[in-house]
Amino acid sequence: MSAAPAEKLLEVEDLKMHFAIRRGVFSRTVGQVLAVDGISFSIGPGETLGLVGESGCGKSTAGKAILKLIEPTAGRIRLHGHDITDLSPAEMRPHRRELQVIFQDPYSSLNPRLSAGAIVGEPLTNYGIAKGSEVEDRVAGLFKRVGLRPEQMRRYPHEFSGGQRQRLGIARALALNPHLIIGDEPVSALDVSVQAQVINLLMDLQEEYGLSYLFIAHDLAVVEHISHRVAVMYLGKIVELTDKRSLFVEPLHPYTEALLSAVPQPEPPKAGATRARIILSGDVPSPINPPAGCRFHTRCPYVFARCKVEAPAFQQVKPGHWVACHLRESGAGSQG
Amino acid sequence: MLTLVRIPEAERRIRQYPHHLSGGMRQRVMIAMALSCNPKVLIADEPTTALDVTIQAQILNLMHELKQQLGTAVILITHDLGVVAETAQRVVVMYAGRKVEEAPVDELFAAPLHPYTRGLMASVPRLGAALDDQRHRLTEIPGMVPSLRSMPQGCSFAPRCGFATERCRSDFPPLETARRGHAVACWNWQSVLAEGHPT
Repeated sequence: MSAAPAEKLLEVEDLKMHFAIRRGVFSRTVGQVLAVDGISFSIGPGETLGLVGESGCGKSTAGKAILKLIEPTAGRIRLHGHDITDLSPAEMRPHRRELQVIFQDPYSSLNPRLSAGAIVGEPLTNYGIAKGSEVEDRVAGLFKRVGLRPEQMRRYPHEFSGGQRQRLGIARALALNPHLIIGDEPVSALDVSVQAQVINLLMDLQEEYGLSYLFIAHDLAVVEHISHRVAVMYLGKIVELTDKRSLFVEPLHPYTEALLSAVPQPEPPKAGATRARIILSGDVPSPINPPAGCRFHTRCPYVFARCKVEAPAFQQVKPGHWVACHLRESGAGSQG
Repeated sequence: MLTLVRIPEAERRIRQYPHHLSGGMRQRVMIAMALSCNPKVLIADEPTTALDVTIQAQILNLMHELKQQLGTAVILITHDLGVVAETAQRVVVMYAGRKVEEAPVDELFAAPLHPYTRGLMASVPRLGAALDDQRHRLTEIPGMVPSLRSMPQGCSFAPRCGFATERCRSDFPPLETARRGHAVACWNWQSVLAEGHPT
């Protein structure tokens, strides 16, 4: 359970997404935003990989690059072993069915001029899977599956609440029977009581259809709840990747450790027991000119000379546990 | 003031404009503005909701220190039970425009008496609560918050409540003192309490 999946549905290898900063009359390139700077991971069938990090760390950009909504700068993306990195939009079409997305904001990701039924049915007609009344039957089935009433098919997005709109987004993503759904902060915009409903729905659907999820989020408790394995990103790089138990019980990267200790716990501290909280100083540096060496060295409580000049390699330090930190490199000893 | 809220290089920052500053720094400036006239009460409306967790930890820590140092009372408005548990001494829970429960923080988390408070506590995933390989379901509060323009008769939580009885659907429960320092607006708080702790 803990190691990387034997069978791989999605493989991402050294993915990079750089954006040029252009200035002046001739749009000269004056710099690069290193939004995603060489990340690798894989997802197995029926598995959920959580991708966490703070705003601006590149987690959403990574999701968009994998979906090929933006063209990655470098790296390889393989789906079922097929390399989809360089496919044209037309060549990509058959693979699109396999790879669907749910966005964060259910208020802006649904076309306000289409009825709810048309929104969910669009992929079916688009791919010529169903016609006429067959579409309606299928859409009604999808509505029921995500907990909406089929009568609501004629309504428009503005008539739905946030949670219901997110259900519509899920129904649309499910329409083509995909193998992998990329969820970009799919529950962050919802109220806590409604958030629980949508998380339960996503987990039920996974069990029923054997779906895989790439679950991009910043809320660590939600990620722990839904994921099998978790990758932590900081400034465009994955700093740690392992099964959720190892990550939450014995994090090996100082950033993961600080991130976990910063989450306020919904129960008051026991009398006398004070939680040792690691408070990081400063802000996340800009991805335009990321710090040399390890990108975390400007905020790391354990920083030493080597961190400032040499970037640590992302390596496997225990079976199924990858980390990029000089303190954990093989040979660095067992002081951890 | 900027030094008080721990803005590094305050001398230089004082000449900068808001768009030069990061989210955490802007929130520090806001706190400096709010504290500049030595208020007795500071109302903080979701002060850390837009911030990342590591920055949130910095700001909560700062607010705590300033409260100790200056003796300002703080009304912290938030939806995050974690923030409540770590910063407040006393908590008021609101639902659809009304106060439904009030208690000291330890008492509230140890023995929540209103079904809505319990529902909230049970529906939030906790760090470290789902680490075995079992599948866990979160407790859902069915339905959604009623529109304030068409509030149900009686208790506004009754349509979503597992404890609701006829009386709840006709009469709004008054706020009553159930235990010492612990007030609740629910006809059935005794049966809620009898059911034990939600988590």
